[in-house]
Amino acid sequence: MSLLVALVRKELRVELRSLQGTVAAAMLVLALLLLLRFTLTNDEIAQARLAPAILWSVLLFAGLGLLTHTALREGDRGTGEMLRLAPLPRATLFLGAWAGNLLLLSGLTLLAFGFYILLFENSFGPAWPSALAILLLSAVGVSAAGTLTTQAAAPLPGAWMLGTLLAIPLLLFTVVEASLRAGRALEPRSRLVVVEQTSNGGGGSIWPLATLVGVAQVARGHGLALHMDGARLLNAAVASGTAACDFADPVDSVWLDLSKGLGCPVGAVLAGSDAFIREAWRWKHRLGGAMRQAGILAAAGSWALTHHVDRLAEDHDNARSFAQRIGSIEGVTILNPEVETNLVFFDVAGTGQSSKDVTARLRERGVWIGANGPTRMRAVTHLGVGKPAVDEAGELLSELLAR
Amino acid sequence: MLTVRGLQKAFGARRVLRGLDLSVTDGEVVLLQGENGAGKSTLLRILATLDRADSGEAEVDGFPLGDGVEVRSRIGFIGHRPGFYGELSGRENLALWSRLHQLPEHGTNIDAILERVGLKSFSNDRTGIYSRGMLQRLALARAALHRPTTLLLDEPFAALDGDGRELLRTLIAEWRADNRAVLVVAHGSRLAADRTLVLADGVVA
Repeated sequence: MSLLVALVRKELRVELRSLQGTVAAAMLVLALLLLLRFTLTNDEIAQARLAPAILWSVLLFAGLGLLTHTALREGDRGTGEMLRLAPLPRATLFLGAWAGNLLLLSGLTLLAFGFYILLFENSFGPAWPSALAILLLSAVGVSAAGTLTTQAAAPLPGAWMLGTLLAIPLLLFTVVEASLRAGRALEPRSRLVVVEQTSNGGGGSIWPLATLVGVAQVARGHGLALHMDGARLLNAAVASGTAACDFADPVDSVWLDLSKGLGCPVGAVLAGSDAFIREAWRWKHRLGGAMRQAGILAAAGSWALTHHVDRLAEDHDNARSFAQRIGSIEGVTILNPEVETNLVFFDVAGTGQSSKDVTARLRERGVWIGANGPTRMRAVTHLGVGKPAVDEAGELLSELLAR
Repeated sequence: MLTVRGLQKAFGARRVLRGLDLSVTDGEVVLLQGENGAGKSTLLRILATLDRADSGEAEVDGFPLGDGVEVRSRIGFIGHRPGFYGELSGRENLALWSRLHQLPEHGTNIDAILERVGLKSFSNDRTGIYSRGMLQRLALARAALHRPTTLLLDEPFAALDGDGRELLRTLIAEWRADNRAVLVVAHGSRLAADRTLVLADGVVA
């Protein structure tokens, strides 16, 4: 241990008295951060996920440059040879060099982190101590791989870059692992809660109003906005008897599909505050969403909202009827037996057939029921499928799945 | 004591040592001479475990060169390059060497040896400002600091002034009297050696 202390003390004394490597590395860090600061837009900088990438790339290049400098300095002056004359195992010499490099690299990391906060503001938020701790921990791996490769490369031509280049593949594991850990600690701050009404994955189930109000309260308590993906909001309204405007009341914005159950070929509606909608228009155009003569589509939507809402109850009845019919088929399990709205999820595992095969054979007979798992399927009722067609589909399925 | 048997070393196609045999007993000073490029420095570097031989055997006090830690603890070496940290003082450089050898009470010993090589008044100056001759004196101090049983000195008179040369001859004589084995590579040093060997064509003539 005292040998290691002696080697580390020597390394620090030499570097602190000359400042050759650290000043050059610090200047490189500053130059790279300044370059990136002027290259990136404010929006990009605000994304916390960019922070690890910026700090990693800057620290890797400057840090490995610093380690290469310390290795070459030992070689050029013959001091490395002097150390090799000491009665120490080579492993001890390596550990000494590694520990000295670790301290130098940790100092550089602290400096780089300070520069980063100054230039990029604190995009880590309150998680910055964790971010700094992760960076400092990663210096352990960087200094180990860097010491190994720079010392190996020091006697070779082009050692100045070679050590750095050799270290990067060795460091991939360290960097990837640390980035993953950094991702957990530094993940972007949540801004929005989205509620899907009705819930597709939940079998077309309805978020009850009371639950929705509770979610909204929790979201507001954490400073989060609340959006409703209400593609099937009107199915929920018709099935539950709760007005769509009441469902929309607790949330900040709502999306409603005019297609799907309402029967339009295309179209949807986004609703929210004036300011929100103005911003949405801007983004729609910015993303290439400008559309001429869209009134034709709007007319269909207007018709659908006037004439096709109440009849959604028929779709729900049809879905329940379909579930009842196919639930009696041997080997078929209904996954959402309550069938709250127009979606029926079922599993055909018990029939020994795959959902993919069943879908293909149904399609040959003009019935489209989607596969959403190896044996899971989803049937959707809508304006285009009346009661007779639903009954026919049920019979056909019964025929195809009969053993 | 130093024994070398059948040592061979080649750099690419150039064979420098071709089955060299050599021995230096305790209390003996051997002067090794030879033309430039004869392989004298290569031999000393191999014996100091800085380079590896292609084949052959060598032992220091009965320890084969492969037992590096034991061999290095018994060797005092002066090479072509002083190998000091210019940012550290003479005393700090020797203190580091002392710690690496895990010597007890290194402070007292360092002061004594610095005085012996005539660097006491410069001991707290950084070695970056030392002249080449001063660095050579410091190298002498370092080679002797850990009281090695075997000294390998490659051109130790280089850059030394008249006093320095006389000091080195005295030191070598003392080491000899102290029953240590000394192998010196030098040209025209007027060194009183027990034996003078000439290295030519990769073997001791």
